[in-house]
Amino acid sequence: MGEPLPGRPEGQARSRLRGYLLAEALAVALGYAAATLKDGPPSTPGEWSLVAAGAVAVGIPLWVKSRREVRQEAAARSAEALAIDTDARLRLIVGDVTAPIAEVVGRVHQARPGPERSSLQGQLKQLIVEAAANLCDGDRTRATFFQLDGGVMHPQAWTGRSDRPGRVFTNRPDDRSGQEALLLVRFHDFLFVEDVHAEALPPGVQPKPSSKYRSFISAAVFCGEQSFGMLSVDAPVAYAFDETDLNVVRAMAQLLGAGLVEGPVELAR
Amino acid sequence: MVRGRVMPEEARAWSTGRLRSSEYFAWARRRAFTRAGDTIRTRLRELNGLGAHEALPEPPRHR
Repeated sequence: MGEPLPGRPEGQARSRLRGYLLAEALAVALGYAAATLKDGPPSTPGEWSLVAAGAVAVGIPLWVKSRREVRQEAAARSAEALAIDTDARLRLIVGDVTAPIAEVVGRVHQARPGPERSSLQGQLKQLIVEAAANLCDGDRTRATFFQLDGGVMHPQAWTGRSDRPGRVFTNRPDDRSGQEALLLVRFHDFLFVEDVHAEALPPGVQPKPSSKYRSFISAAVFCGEQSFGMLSVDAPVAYAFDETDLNVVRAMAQLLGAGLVEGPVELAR
Repeated sequence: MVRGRVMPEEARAWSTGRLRSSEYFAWARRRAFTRAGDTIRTRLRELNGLGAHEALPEPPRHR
């Protein structure tokens, strides 16, 4: 998630392993020297050659073993960091984001239709884009909710990079990407593009030359048969998102859809 | 035994607009990493018969 892991200093564990390896090498060298000198120091070139060959024969396995142990230590540290990252992400998504947003969805449906409910729905839209922008891994991620209103989608809530999303999706014949976006919402689909310049995309999905994003995820916001718009996250770098980010966006879109749905809901009193 | 609030005060502060998302997520991320590190390292140390815990970060101040 782009932040250094708090906790155990890595250098400490690495220096401890190197200390063990050095002690082992010293012990072996000492043992070898003692064994060599037991019968007196070498005096002829042949004896010196034998001692040198013996030293190489002892040193090579020791060197290979130490390299393997250092690699294993590095692999173990990477596995630990990965496990911590995964566990932390799960905690963040489930505990720190989904729970408070679900509570706001509940309050939306407790509120009577009118200004109070509209205000809570506006609050929910902002929470959803903030959550999507913060949970998705991308560098300088921007999240936007485009609300569907009268067959046109306007940006309703956004957060992230400072540039305001100015895109409006329409069904006009000259707005090919608008038509694609509206179809995505109509069919309740999602679209995940890792690099808009590298992938073969349908004409309607191609960004404008002035666009500042390279990768994006868009998901329809709906509940049942009602469509409310599209939630998008984008980043100015390619391959900014992964499949976990896609699932985060899908979940956020569904939570938003659950909070925006209007119907004959009667509160049990 | 562990007992706590389903909705922590910090999460409620964020969801009701009393805490900025940048502050909330910075704190939540630090806390999640600290707790995850503690959990994973404890599990690893249990394999070696050791144990360790780290201090959680202070919650952010909100209005």
